[in-house]
Amino acid sequence: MAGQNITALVDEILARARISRPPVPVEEVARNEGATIRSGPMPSELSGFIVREGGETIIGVNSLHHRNRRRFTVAHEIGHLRLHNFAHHVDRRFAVYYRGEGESPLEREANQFAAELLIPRRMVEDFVPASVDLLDEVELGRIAQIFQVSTQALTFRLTNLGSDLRRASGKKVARSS
Amino acid sequence: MNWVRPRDEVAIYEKIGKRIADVREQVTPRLSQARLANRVSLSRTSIVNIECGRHRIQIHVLYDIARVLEVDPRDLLPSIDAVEPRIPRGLERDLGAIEPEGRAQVARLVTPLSKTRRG
Repeated sequence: MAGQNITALVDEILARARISRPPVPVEEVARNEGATIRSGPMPSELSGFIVREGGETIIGVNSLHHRNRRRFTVAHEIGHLRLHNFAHHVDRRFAVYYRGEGESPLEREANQFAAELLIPRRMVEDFVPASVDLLDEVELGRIAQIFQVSTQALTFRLTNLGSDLRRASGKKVARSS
Repeated sequence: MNWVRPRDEVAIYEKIGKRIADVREQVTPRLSQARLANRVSLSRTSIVNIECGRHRIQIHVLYDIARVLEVDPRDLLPSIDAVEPRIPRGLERDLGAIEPEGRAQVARLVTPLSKTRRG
């Protein structure tokens, strides 16, 4: 699926659930997609998995991973559910930057989906100051907390969005405190 | 969907050991590891190792212990679902080189679904 279609899909999912503010309630999105989330300890190299059986869908998440990582895993698995026709799939630790070399196209798509779901363009436009300095780790960390994503995931997302953003000046911009 | 049970020998002995320990600790008057060991003619170290699953208990020893604890030996044995939960074959294959314990962890997250489906 082309990147633009992933963006449109994420927009539709968010609009239907009336989600307009960070953090995106990723578990609610999973439920809306008909999936049950099962969280439990797994070997650290595993992030999560999906199984579809009959009409039921399970998203498994490694409960030993950091909360932000678990959110990314759930979003990534929702991506597989919506984009790919897997009956079952296991995800190893994946890099959050979705242009990573060596990843399969399907993994890259799921990563792009996850990045767009957790850090939607519109929310970036509304909640991230246009003046944000991608080298200012303190400010990035503060914004990452608002979105409940890792600073790394946020940085890559902002880099990929680049100057393409339509920024509403001053509107609803996240305040430093 | 086709289901398989990833083999997990370690879990079998850990679960048996834990059951023995649980039952022993409920016995009144209190039965220490040393006293149980004495009653079944083993060293206390052997009982320690059996209870943590490190020692692979022999069946006649399991009977000896059951006799002392006054339970049916079957009550010291966990069900197959408890030690080797089922997992869809395809997902099992996706796990590749993951160790048995990890496979069982994944299976445990999937199994309740199959149970509720079977009613």
